[in-house]
Amino acid sequence: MQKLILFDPDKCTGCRRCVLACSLAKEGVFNSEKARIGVISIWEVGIHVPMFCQQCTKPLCADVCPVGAISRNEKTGAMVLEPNLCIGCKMCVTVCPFAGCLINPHTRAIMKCDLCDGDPQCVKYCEFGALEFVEADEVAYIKRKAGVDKLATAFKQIA
Amino acid sequence: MSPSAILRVGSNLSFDSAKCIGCESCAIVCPRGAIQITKDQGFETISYTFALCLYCRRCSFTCPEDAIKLTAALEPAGFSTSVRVEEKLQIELQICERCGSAFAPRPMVRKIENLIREKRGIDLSSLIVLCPQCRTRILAEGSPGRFGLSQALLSQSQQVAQSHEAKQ
Repeated sequence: MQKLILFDPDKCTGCRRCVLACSLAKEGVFNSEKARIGVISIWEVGIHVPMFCQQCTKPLCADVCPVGAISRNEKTGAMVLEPNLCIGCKMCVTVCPFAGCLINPHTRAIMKCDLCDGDPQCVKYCEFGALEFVEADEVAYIKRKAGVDKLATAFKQIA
Repeated sequence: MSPSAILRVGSNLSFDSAKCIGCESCAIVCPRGAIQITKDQGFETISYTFALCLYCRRCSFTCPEDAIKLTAALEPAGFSTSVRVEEKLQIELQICERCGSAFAPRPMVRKIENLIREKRGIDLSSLIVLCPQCRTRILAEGSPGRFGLSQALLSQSQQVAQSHEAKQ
């Protein structure tokens, strides 16, 4: 069954360990510019939101890719970018609403989360349990909705 | 002396300004850096240098829009060090409506918008005019109708914070 990464805004401290774990696992260096995950901090309301590929059921990135370099991996259910096919046109970067496709500023290559072949390092190194890797069943979708609602209530409390 | 010793193969290149979406894949794939892209003041300039071209045709094979036309040409060898810019194309960049940064070529944005409308029937016109950074920030802050959070909530919280500061 497909698994997905869930996020709990109550637990995230904005430490960016997920970002460093990602860049180390994928590029072998500690460089937040080379990570497939990014953390947005909204200091006005004290909320940290990691943004990463949501492995959409109907992905826009695959729709716009002119060479069909983004396809679903049947084993993990992740949308995977084939670097040999990618021509670096950045259409996926322009269309993605979640900043799931990113540009490596050093090589101009496109980077995208592939769920680390079913063992995401960002989840492994999240000390606070803010990121969870769970099976994509109904409970997971309810949890995802709950996480989003938590964000909403946090804003309302402040306001 | 054979002619090949004094002549070398290069190519005349022309960009189709109606087709080009400014995606830079030709510049990425060019092994000699004959195609260069500079971004300045809301415009992207694609320039091609005849003297550096090897006629490998990778750019025309790669171009997703078929906007590059190449024809083989001979030029005297030995003069290739002089940098001659043969072809230039200017493409307007889309300005982010929130932060004002130029993030993607306008033809590409239009193409994506039409493609998604055709394929999926989704209207992206309000989302695609924002740069990826602003888009994710708005999603994180909660956009109206998506996460049930409105931008107004954040501005309200800012007002509360400001009134607190004013009291202190």
